[in-house]
Amino acid sequence: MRRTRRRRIEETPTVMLTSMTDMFTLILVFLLHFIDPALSSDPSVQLPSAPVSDAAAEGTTLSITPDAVRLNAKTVVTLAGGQVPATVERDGKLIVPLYDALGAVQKQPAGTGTEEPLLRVECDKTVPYTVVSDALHTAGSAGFGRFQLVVIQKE
Amino acid sequence: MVSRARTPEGADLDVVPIMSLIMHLIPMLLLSVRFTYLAQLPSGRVVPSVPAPSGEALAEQEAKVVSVRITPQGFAVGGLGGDHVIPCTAALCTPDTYDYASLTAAMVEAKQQHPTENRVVVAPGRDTPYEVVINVMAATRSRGKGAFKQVLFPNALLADDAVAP
Repeated sequence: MRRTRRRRIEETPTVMLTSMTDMFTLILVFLLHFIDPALSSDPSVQLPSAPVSDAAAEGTTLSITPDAVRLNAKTVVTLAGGQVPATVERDGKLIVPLYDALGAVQKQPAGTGTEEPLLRVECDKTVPYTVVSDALHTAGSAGFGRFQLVVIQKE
Repeated sequence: MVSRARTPEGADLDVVPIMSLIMHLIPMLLLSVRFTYLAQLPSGRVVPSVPAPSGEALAEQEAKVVSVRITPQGFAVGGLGGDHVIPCTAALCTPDTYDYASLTAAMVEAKQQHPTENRVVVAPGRDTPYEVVINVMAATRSRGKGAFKQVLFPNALLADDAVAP
């Protein structure tokens, strides 16, 4: 009995994991190549596509979905029916809560450059222009002089 | 002799913990990866102290400034000397039925009349979907690809939504 058990243990094959480890390491590097904050967007936003090749850059991000206006992923204004509700404080076209939030972002120390601050705008393709117009007007009032309208690159 | 005893020949590395770690990392990365490339369209500044151009103001400037009004019936191109209307390809205007190819052709004509101008005023209506605005900006920006690419009006200025009817 003892002899039989010993033989079975000795015959158990060892799994060679080295080649599999190599493969997984390559997959890991491949996937890490696609992880870039500038290449990612708010998943709740259906971006429009356009045949442009200028790469999107990082920066303060204004996301406009049919449900909300977000600044750096924080909801600033909740939309109703794709429009800014009447209950939200306004000053003409200016959206006051968004203006305050953009002002707070502007006060934070950012780049050392002297050029005008850049606002990255990620807007859902179904949002009516009046919401976009009001948001951009508010951003302009808050000191953002350049807008980067983010789209999905189309061939 | 002592060292041989400490490190026996043929000792395998235990890669199982590393494999386990990688096996956990891969699904996590797959969830966060989006295999799409993002690009950007630059837009002009919105100056709060200067009122956005009205419809009349745009009409006065049409001889000098190239403009595109997005209406529920199609595009109205300014800067070509007179009204140049580009209707939609179907009775009902949707983001897919606006005639972007004809708009680009009109922009080529406008570029011949304004060779030094790089700006175009895009004036969408209040309810114009954002997708149409982007498509118009792309259509007025350039024509063709690669070596055959012709730059038209790369600087798009978004006008107030009060402009369009």
